[in-house]
Amino acid sequence: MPNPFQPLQKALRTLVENAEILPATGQAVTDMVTPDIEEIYDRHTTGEATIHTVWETDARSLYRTIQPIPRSQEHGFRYFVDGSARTYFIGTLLEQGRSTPVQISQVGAAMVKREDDGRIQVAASRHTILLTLEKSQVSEELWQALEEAIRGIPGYDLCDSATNNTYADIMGLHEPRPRGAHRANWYMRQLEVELALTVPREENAWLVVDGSLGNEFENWRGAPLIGVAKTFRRDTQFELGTGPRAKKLNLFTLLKDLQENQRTIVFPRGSEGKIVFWYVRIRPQKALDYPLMGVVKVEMPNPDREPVDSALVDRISGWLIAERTVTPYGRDGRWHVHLYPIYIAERVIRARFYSEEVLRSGVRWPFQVASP
Amino acid sequence: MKNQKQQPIGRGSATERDPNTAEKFKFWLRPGQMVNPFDIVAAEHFDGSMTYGLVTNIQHITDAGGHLANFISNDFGEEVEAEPQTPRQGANIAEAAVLSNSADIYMPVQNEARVYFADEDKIHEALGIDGIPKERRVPAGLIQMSNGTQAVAYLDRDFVLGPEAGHVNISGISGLATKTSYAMFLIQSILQTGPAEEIAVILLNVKYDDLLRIHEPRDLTEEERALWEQLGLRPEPWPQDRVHYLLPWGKQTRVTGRPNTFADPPPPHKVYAYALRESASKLDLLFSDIPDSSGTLASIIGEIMSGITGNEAAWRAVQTWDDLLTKPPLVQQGIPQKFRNIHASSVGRFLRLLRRIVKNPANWHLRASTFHPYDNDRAGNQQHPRRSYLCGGHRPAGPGGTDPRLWGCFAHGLRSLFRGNLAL
Repeated sequence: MPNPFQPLQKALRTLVENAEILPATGQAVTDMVTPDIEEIYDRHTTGEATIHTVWETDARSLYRTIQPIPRSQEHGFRYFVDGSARTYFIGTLLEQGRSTPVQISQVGAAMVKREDDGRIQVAASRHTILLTLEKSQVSEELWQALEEAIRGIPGYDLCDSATNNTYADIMGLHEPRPRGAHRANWYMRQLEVELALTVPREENAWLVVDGSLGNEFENWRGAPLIGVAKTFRRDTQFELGTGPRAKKLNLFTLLKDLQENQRTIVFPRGSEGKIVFWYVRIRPQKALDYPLMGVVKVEMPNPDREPVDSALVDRISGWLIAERTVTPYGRDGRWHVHLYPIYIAERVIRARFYSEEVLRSGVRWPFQVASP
Repeated sequence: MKNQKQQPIGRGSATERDPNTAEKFKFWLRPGQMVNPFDIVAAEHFDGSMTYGLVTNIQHITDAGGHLANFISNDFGEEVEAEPQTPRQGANIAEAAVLSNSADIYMPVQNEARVYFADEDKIHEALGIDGIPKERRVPAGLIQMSNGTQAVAYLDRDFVLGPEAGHVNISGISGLATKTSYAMFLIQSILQTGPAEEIAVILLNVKYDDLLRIHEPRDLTEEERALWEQLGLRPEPWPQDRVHYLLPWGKQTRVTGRPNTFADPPPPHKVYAYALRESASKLDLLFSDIPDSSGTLASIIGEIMSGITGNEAAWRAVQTWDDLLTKPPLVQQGIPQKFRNIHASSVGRFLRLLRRIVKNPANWHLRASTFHPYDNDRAGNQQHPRRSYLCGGHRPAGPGGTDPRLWGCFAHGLRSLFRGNLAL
């Protein structure tokens, strides 16, 4: 197999020839991303923590019991999108008293389609290798030279870890290496959004996006989609109604009474309701250790800003509950809220990633060997 | 060499923990594709060659970490009827033992190598049949694969009848008569496709009357006839004039003429028996399975063999098995005697063992005073020097086994029959 990282050599040579490099010991080292980005991003996108209103046509009850709707009865969810990113630290660049980590990331997103018989096929996928540095720590000439070295190579991209890095910004990260890793995650998020917005789908083929919906979906009027968040902000307060029937709940009190095969009423995200959300318990509490386990948060674009049709939300929730068969139990700690097709989409991406052994062998600094 | 007519059925799969080797390879199967153990497949390999493999096992794997994952996936075991919303990702993985490579390349089959069902020509190449000259091919059976492909399997006559080798190993489960049936088929195949006049077949019937009807036709279904024709063979019984049944002497033979056989009525036959005088030179074979660490049995047997075959004075009065058991020099007035330097107790042991053999109801053929086939068949033997002889009637040993004593005695008889021209 030819070295898949050969196209990077020109960029690495540019760095070696124009600045001092302190290579990482033993070549590339995995940069781990430990905070739960999904929850933080949910907090970032949903704005106000307190919800005052409900946003559906039939708002008589806080909880609604739903019958699971299996694929054989109505096959609603056809497409699923997920992404994955892995970042490796390969060295530190020193130039004119400034320094920046040099990181390589493998980033990808995949959309899978479920056929009538339940089999999964890949509908579309994206895969990019990122070279990430902090642009402000590099001279203009060197950055331009890097851009020239990377430009035009299909599947490769150059990134500045300081800009266009929403995840790192909302987490308040300043350390350059974590910022580089989060830059890759944000890039992955953008690939997911690109797939969700651009891959053509049949008119009634619903798409499930992994995680909260970004603001780019607020005015979405294309083929139907929802976002399903496995983890979500926990500081949400619900102050519903007025007078003697007013209710004040926090998220835990709301969800502890949410029974198997039930959903909550629909709430607006922000005051305009461009995106609405609700919670669905897809697994019984009795088998889980914690009230929030087994509950997913569902978000749906609502460009008309009108209260959404309760019957539609019931159907969507019914489809979701049916997704509990099967589960990646034993493979993923979030198995109780993981949708299996999303898990498969993630596997599709990871299967395309080069192994750490290939990366360690393929990414080498082109240092000149001194003549004797 | 590339197979362009067929669709690949899967691709080679080698992993970190389960690599392909020079001896075996694994491949995944496309969804819905079926293979069976013993199917022969062809995998694309270096230099346009094909590596042929015999499917030995098929596994179904999924991404479930354990059985618990499957239990939980079905709503914690509550859901036992409905189909899963998304079937778990799984694949069928077949394992194949490498048979050969068309260009003698024995590098392991590579990951992603396209794998096909082998067609008839490829099956012949895989099994080395293409290297057997047509005139030496003995149809040995029909290979039927799960995709419907059929290929006639051939053996090389030079390795079945010589000069290269003379051995066929048939393995199978005891008691189903499949190995015996196959042996009968193979003999038919050899006789129908080779120089039958130069071949003599000797069969030992070891179970009831299994082989005592081989000269009679059997009703065959159209399907069975078609299989025979596909092999290029005629579904015929053994020619009646060429089959000779040799059945053992029995308790009632002297009175009724009926041999000791399960066949009722017996087929046209001759009765055989082993008289002491004619069998003495092979007496040691009767005791071949009896432990004799001190060698005393061998000493006595040696004395008897040399005494009788040398017509020594001490042994002239011993004409029959009963004489040996009851008369001098070994016995006087019913008491075992010391003979030369052999103790009386050792002679006594020999007599007990011999009595157990000779007096066994299954061994009446050891009681006759003459060896009948030898005496009765000389003329016929001269007229038909090559024919099929079948010996048997009762069951002298355990399931599927042939008593070495029977074989030894019979070999002796056949040597006499063929006047020493038969190598056994």
